[in-house]
Amino acid sequence: MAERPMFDDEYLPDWLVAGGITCAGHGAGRSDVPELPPWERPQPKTGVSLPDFAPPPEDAPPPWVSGVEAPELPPFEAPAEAVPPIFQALPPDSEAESIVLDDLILPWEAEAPAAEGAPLDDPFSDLDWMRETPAAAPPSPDQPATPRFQTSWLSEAILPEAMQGGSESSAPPTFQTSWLSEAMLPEAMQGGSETPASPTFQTSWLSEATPSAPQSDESLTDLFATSSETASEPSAAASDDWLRDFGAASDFDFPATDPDLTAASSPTQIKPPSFDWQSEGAAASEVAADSADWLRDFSVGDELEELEGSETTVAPDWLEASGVTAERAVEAAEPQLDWLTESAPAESPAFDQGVEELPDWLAESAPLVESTPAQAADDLPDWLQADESPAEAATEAEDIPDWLRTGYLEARPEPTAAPPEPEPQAEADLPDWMREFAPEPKSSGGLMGSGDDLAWLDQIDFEKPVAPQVADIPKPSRGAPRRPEPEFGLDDPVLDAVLAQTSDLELSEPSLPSIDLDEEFDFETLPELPDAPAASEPPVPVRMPAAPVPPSKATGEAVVVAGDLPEWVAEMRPDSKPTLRIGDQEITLEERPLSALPEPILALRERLKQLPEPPAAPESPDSPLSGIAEVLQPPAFEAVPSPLTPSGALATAAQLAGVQTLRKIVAAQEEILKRRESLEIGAPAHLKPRARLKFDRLLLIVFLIAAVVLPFFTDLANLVPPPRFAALDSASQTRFTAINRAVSDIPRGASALVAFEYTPNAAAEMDDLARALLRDLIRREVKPILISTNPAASLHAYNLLYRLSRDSAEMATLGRNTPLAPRRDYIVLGYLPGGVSGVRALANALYDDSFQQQVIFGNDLEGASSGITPDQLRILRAQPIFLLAQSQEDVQTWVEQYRPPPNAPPDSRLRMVIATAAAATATAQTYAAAEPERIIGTLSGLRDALLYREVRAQYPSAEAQRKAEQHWQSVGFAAFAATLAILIGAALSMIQYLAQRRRSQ
Amino acid sequence: MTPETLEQVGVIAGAVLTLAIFSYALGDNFLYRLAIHIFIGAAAGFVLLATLESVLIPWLSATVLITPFELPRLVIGLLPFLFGLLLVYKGTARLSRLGDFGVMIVLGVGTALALLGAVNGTLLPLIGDAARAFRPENALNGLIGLIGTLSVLVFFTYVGLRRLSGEVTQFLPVRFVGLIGQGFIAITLGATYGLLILSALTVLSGVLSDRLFILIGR
Repeated sequence: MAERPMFDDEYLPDWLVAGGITCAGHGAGRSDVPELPPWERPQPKTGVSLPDFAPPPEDAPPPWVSGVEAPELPPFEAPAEAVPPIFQALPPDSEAESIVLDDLILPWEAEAPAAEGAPLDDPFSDLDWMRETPAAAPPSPDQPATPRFQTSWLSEAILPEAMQGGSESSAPPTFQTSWLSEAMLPEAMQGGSETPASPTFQTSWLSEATPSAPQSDESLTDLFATSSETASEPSAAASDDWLRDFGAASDFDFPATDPDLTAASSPTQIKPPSFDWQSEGAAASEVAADSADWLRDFSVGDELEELEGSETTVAPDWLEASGVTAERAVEAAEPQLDWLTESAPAESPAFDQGVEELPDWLAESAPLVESTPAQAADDLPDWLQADESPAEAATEAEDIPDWLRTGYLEARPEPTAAPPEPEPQAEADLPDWMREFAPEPKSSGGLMGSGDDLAWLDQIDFEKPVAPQVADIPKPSRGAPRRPEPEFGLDDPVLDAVLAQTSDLELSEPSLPSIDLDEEFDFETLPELPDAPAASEPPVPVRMPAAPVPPSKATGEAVVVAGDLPEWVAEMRPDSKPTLRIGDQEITLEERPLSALPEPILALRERLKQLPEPPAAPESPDSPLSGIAEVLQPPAFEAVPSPLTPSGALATAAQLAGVQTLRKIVAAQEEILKRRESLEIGAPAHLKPRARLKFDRLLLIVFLIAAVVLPFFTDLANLVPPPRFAALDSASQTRFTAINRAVSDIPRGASALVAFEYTPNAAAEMDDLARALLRDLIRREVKPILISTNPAASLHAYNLLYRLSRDSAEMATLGRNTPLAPRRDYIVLGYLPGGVSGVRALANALYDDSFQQQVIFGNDLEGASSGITPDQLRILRAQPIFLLAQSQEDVQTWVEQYRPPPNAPPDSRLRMVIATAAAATATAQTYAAAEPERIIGTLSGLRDALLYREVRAQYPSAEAQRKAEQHWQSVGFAAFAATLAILIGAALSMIQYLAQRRRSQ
Repeated sequence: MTPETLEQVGVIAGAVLTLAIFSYALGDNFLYRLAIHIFIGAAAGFVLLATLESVLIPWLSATVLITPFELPRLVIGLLPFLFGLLLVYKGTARLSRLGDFGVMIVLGVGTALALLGAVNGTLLPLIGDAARAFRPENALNGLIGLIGTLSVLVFFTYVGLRRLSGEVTQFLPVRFVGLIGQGFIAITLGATYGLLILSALTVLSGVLSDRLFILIGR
């Protein structure tokens, strides 16, 4: 049982298949019938022509299509296989073909233009032109006497004989039947068509809302008035509740003269609340005992019976409100249309079983197709009015459920004028529950609407032909004109053949046992249905889902809205795919038929089936696939030692010792890190160890500061005598003499380059040397041109000259009465970028490149023009450069790069005097010893500054000389103290080391 | 405010900042960090201004904005900006290769100049000076210099023999000469360190005499 597919047409009885019920989804997927586009699908509806039917002449198109000319396109040829066999035998041009009623193509729409530009693959393309044609309704008001027969897809093909006879009445009746149509009409109703008065049947639930003759309303009133009078049990109070849910309770006015109406008569069967108004008919069904159950619910049969003998013309209010009066029926019928799509599958069994044997579940859905008068559109809810066109006839298309539009809309006339633009808010105004049922143009569900929301409808193939199909329906997108509808009659042999087939499908009433509507429908029972209808077997009860009720406009209250599809339906959705759930994630897998698998996979599958199922191993919660169902468990592997693998690593003793050392280092490092973490992280912020004041450091600092300061206050600290030129050795005197001669050789008024390569942090040491050199140059009226590769050094040079020019004592020493002025007495050039490259560029600029000369010597530090002329640059080549360097790197850079370029004259030589800090003394002296021709001499630190000032007689006063000597004493005494501190520290460290070594031994 | 007043304010501010720097002797503190931040910020700002006023603007004036217009100067003037733009790409992972081109220019030129200067300005002069050291009047100095140079070179010899135990050992003469070179290195580094201390003490003395004594009125 479980191996059998759930939805397979093979298991459906023939009478269900003949009735149009097939199993969509799986069953449809296995069908050999190719998927046809909507316009090529066989028409499910058949029509029947009445003898008095007189279609409009072909040469006189209706006025609504007069202005529109269909494009001249070749007629569409439907494939032969789309034609049912019973019609394939007929010659295509025979007259009998015209009998195959394409009731969906009315005569006046034969030349209706097809929708242009509609996509070929759009299943709703043929519907759009109908929705957008508000004024495309057949001109029934203009032709009241013209009989119109708008039958639905079941229609007259299965009409009982009595009903067929009704068409022989002298007066042309107007039949607007729906999918249940006349086939289900009881005899009383069938006989109604034979009434001399030829009433126009607007059986709202049986027909479509078509503008009818004025006398229709009256006839309908007569029809339903009787049933309302015969109703005895339903009470108005009880009905008010469900009518209030229906949304039109305010419009319903039960007569107060119905004292017998009780709540017990309220509908008990599962059916949409929108049909509860027909519980009146259900009450009346007790009177009309011979009526079918479904008619008993709707009271139609009763009403029809009463119609024959009753002359009552007063209809009850509830009938008027329910649309019989064509004024307010929309309120009652419009909400039904939506959930009607869900109840649509029930129609075919009803069709097959005949009118009287219709089950109750079908009776519920039967009235759903009740037509609604178009003039009641103003009472429609907003979500429906959004799609309403100005013309009333357009509401018909909107009132029809999607599954019904397949056949119905094609029976609509073509638009006569330019279709109005669809209102965009129509979709937005739909309620949520309605949106789920709204058809989607791109949906794969075809004409049935959304494939997701109405997926359960896919189980039933409405499109399977049960009636002769018409092959000459052109594709709307192609705009092919349709053939004019030929005249046909009931005596056509094709219709007889169809009726002959359907006559065997009638079931007797006793064969239908009572059906428990509360019983859950089990699709498992569907394949067990007999192939042929058996009178003793009960039909499959179908429990229809609750119909969602749109909000009522009349009451303004939110009505009860049904939820989604029932769970049991949703679970059995044929289009549902296997879903793998991983936590809250779902992965839908593509299900493929087993036959589609390749042979190796099939073979492997068979092998796996034969394998014994391993015992379920406990799932590890740490597994990455933990919690995932049906996961293939990996086989357990057991590590087996390989004989090729050496049992142990080979290492020498030294390598092992190195490994042990590394381990110790790593362990010590980890220990240190852990200790730090425990101290820093574990302790609170206020308890974290702060930087402790180290007394040894503080003591040393105090000691050194005292040593530095003390010589300024007392002569007791003068341990080192100040340097004197006379006390120098011959080499030092020669060095100083060379520097003095180099400075003296600079012609007055000339310029001299000064490389200022020390920053303010070395000012205390280098400023004395810089001042000594600058004083000497300025005093000899030599314009110093200061340049630096360090911006901070350039700034310090600028500041130094500024302070020098502001010192009156210095100016007095220089023999000047006015302060020094930049660019006149000295030039501080801009920062020389590039480091090594900059020094090289400077050396090159001194010789042959005017462009580099302009770039390097063009502007001073303030950005102003330096005023250096090329003649001054030529003089600069012959003058030594005075390098004031702080570090060894500066000395090295200038010594290495400040050289004449290769294209310089052969005897070119760029000389220099190096004045450095004490730290760069060794390097400077090394270079000076290596290149004595180029490096004139070196000056180092404070000592040489004092010597230079002494040699060049730069002390303006004895006090200045005393201060300079105090500075020297300070440095000397501090150096002595530092040396002492270093020695004491070294001694203490040695003692500590020896003590530790002794303790370790 | 007169320039003299500004100078006095500058001197006092310099003295306070000097004390703040000296406070680091007691440990890392707020005053020290404040003074450091001030110096760094001031230096950065001045570098920006100095670069803009004394480098970029003069460069553009001499090349790109020169009148009359000269195409060669324009091209030359844009080259540094092109290289600078390439260096900016070093900040992105995708376009860092373009930045490599700029780095290649800078490092290539700098390395070439440094190598050339080192050979011509350092190695060759020092080799010549070492050769000239062997003169009768300073034979001892020359001998010490020769021994010191050779021993230091031997000390930086990394050639050895790996024994069966895995230990790498050097020959005894190499180790002995290397030990002598290590002594020369220690003496050189000690002298350099002493000179650095002397420079620091000179700076300290100069700062105290120039700044603090102004504060105490001397």
